[in-house]
Amino acid sequence: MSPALFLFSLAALGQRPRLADPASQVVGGTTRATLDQRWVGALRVQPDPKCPPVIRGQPSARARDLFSGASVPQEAPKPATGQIGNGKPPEVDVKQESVPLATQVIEFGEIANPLQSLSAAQSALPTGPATTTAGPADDSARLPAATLPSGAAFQAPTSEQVLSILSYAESRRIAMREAAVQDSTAAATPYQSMTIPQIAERIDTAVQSLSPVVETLREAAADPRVTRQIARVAPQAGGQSQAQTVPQRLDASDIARFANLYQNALDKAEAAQGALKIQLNDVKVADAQRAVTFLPSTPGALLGMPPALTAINPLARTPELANLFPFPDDPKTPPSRVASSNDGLVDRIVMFNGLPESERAKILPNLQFVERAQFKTRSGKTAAIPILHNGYIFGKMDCSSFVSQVLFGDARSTRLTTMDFKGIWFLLLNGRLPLPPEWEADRAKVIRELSKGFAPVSLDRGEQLLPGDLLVFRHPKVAWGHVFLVRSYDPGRHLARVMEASQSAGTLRERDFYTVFGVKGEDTLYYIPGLFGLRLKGSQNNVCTAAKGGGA
Amino acid sequence: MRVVATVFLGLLNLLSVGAPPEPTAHQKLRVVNDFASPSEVVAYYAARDASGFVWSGLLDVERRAFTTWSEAPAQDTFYVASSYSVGTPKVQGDQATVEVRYQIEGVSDAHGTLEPARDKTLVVTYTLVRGAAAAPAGRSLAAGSAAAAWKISKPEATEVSPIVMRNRFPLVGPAARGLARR
Repeated sequence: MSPALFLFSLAALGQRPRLADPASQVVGGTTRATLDQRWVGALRVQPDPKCPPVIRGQPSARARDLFSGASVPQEAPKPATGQIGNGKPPEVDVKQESVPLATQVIEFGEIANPLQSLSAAQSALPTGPATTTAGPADDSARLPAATLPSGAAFQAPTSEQVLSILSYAESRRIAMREAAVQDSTAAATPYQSMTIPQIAERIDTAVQSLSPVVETLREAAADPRVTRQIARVAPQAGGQSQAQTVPQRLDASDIARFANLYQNALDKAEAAQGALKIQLNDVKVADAQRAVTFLPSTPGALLGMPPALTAINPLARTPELANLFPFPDDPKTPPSRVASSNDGLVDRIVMFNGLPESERAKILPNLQFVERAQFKTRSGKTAAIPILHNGYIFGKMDCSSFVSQVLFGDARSTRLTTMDFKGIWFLLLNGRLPLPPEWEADRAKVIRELSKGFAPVSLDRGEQLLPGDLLVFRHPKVAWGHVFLVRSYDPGRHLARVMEASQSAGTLRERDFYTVFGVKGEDTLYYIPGLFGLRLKGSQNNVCTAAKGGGA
Repeated sequence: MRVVATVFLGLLNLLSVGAPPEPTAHQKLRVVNDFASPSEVVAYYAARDASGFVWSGLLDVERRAFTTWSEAPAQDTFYVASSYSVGTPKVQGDQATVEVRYQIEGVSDAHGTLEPARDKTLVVTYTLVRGAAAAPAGRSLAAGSAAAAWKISKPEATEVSPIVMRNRFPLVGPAARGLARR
């Protein structure tokens, strides 16, 4: 997203949302005894002005079938995209008389495809603030807190606060990505002037170093009795390291993810080792020095890569190595995106671990994103491992990094998952966590703590989304979750303008998103089951400090 | 005797495509797609996925080698499977489909909390393409390149959910302990 577009998006956040259209009222009718009942309910939206605002009743049999069938999936429905452009919610064709309804909906569980199909269709919607009216920021349009059935009395964030949080979240993310470039450059610099035989030696060293590290991480991830802690908090992006004497316990989720990343680094190093052995056998040692001319010390230059990209990738010296440590297809790819990607981190881990101990010790203080983790196994074996990362693990979190993180699936993968958000939302509505799953005590404690910073927003109860709300999709039947940040909401059309993470670009993007869908041949609209809102309290909430997770 | 053993192991290796991976071993990273058949590509992807590498972040090098996706899947939750099998491919020209049938235990996330599954069987149908359709966006395949390589095109990255084998992730909680006892 360009800076101008981003600023425009932020400015638009302050625009006044359209008030509810009385011609379109929510028809409720689910009980809240269990979350399952709620989802099976497939809450109805009746665009009929004669309908009373709220009707208690049972969801239609079709809706029940649509979201509760257990048949083996056949084919996903395709929304009628043509109707979206006419300002109507997308429709799903579930009418196949000879086949049970559920079989028409599911490929990854009954719910995922309606939402995914809608997402794909909605991404084709014209961009622009079509559902908001121009005007200055006006918080008087907000629903008073007292209208929330949860009874939570608090002041929702103002538009200015939302703007400020978003703006800072974006700048924070940019700073973190720049810090990743610094780290990659630091690890890559010693390799810039190496010959191929020297690189082969370093790769051998990387394999030797990484093997026990991976073993330790795997053991630590699998066995909760392994003591695992870090000795300090991650430094702030672009700032100086800040020592912290109180050790923190490492979360198992972080360890599991980093065990995989380090395993990938080891696999890459071993593959490079094999490729280099073949090459060095082909080229006599006496000629090995000459082999470096295959690609110069700045190999990216031959491929049209800018110096900044070359500076973080000195290993692509041969075609085989270039397969393992490739330059991006597009030379205009920002180095920050390369360095902050999983590949960039894995390559950095290989290069760092290929250095001799003395060199590692030399560059370690200059790395922005590294944690000195200490492990103690049951047998009493101890290991100190510098864990390189991309800046989104460990340590305290402020509101901006919280917002920045929850929007990105990769950042969310180890902390504050959509399952956590579902737990928060359910807890706020019902006073207890949903069952299943059976929550571990530590995690339940964190969720209870986090919940104090939110209020639930239930679309089926007629509650309206506001700018700054988190709109979350989480359904127990599918391993698919999504988090949006609401920019504006048109309750008359059940249409939200949302911001979400663009995983490929590593930035935020925005689009229109209907919170309802229709079924072909039916007049009734249905809320997307598993879709709910969370409103971050504007001040004095503990989410931003508690969001670091349950490991601490 | 050694020759017989070698031949036997070789046959076992040939037969292993499409079979569940060794439960305790991870699927090693590959960055070159030199698989001849679409089922081999899917078997590799499914094995990487089963080892947890799609959940923790598919690398761009393998995304480009084995899929046509423009971005890697980034889901914060995943299915937990007890077993899976890769079906035989249905090939039509430069397009093929391969089904993978999973026995699902539930849905979990990084915390390892298991939400038991009601539907125990999950079938994922992968669509693969080769030739021009498998070229990266905006680029044509050079002569002699991996033009013949099959790549996964569907489900899209945004629609795919990681599916991790239960012994490849540290699950927690009573439900997970129940699984471990089985």
